[in-house]
Amino acid sequence: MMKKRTPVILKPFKPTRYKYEKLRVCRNCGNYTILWDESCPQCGKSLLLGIENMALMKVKLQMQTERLIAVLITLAAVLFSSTFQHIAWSLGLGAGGIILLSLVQRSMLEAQVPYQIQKILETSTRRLMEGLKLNIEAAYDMRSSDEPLAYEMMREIATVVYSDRLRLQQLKLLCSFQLRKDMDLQLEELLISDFEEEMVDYIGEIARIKPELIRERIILYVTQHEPEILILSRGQEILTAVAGAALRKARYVTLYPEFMERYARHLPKERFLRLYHLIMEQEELRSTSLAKEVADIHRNRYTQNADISISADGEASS
Amino acid sequence: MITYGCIGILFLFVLVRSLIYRSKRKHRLSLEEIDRELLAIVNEGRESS
Repeated sequence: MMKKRTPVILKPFKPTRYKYEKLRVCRNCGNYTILWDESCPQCGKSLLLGIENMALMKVKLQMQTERLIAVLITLAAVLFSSTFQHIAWSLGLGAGGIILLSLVQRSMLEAQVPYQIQKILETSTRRLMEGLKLNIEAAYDMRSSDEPLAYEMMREIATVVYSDRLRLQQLKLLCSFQLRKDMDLQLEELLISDFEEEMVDYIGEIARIKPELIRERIILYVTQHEPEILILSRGQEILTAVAGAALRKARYVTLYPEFMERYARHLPKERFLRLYHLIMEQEELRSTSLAKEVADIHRNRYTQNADISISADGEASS
Repeated sequence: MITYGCIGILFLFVLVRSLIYRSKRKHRLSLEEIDRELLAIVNEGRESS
């Protein structure tokens, strides 16, 4: 599957500590958005506020209302006072009560915000879903005019929306871009449950330019879909690239020795020698069929350069 | 008499609010829980990984 890839510049992804921090809500219409627009996509007003700030604002408003209630009760006490002494007592005790309430509120302000965020999410689920739907539609529409921006929008939405359809759209866009090592690329976040040609194509590209992103879940995906991948024109090349990238960690070789064995023969020299040395270092691997296969390949191809070899029964010798 | 009643209500109100605040602080909701809840709301009925 060789397509013409276009050179693009992608903005780096700005992760937040918590996913909800990406959400913003319009103070005018209550619409939610996860995109970085200045104005609300629904009403067009520049009144977007982070959900945490919105919660803080609501908590402060609620506390203000409570203080107002305390003031009104104090005023009622003053109003029903029959003597000056009663008025003085009412004012004094009322002021004391209000100050006490204010102090309690101030010390509890921070702890109230998470509850308020929860309340906002629970009471405005419909609006939240509608807002995210609008965001997804905007990203899909953007594909025809600005593909990199469409991808960036989808990447932002995918922070909270876990959908294979959305991931597949991102993969389709990524497969049309000329990917570079300096790009802020994701892989595990885009992993979809079923076999998809775009997914495999992207894994192959990542294995080539950013092998550090090839982790256990990715190796598991390619091993699960190996027969389907091998049918593809670049299938073997991609699987070899994944096997080569997986050699960064000895653990992956220990976990997937059969996979390594199947592609050891196709590995480039530098990757193959890395595998050879990993097996030499890992005692539990020396008696496996992977070690035998690697020893055979090593003997046939690289013996003149090596000072160590593995015997056919898996024993290492100098 | 009503004055005393009002002042009593005021202090009862302050006490009740303080207890509610205190109980919420004691069983403080973590921000990770909010994240989980958000993801559950958004991805309900949707395939996820």
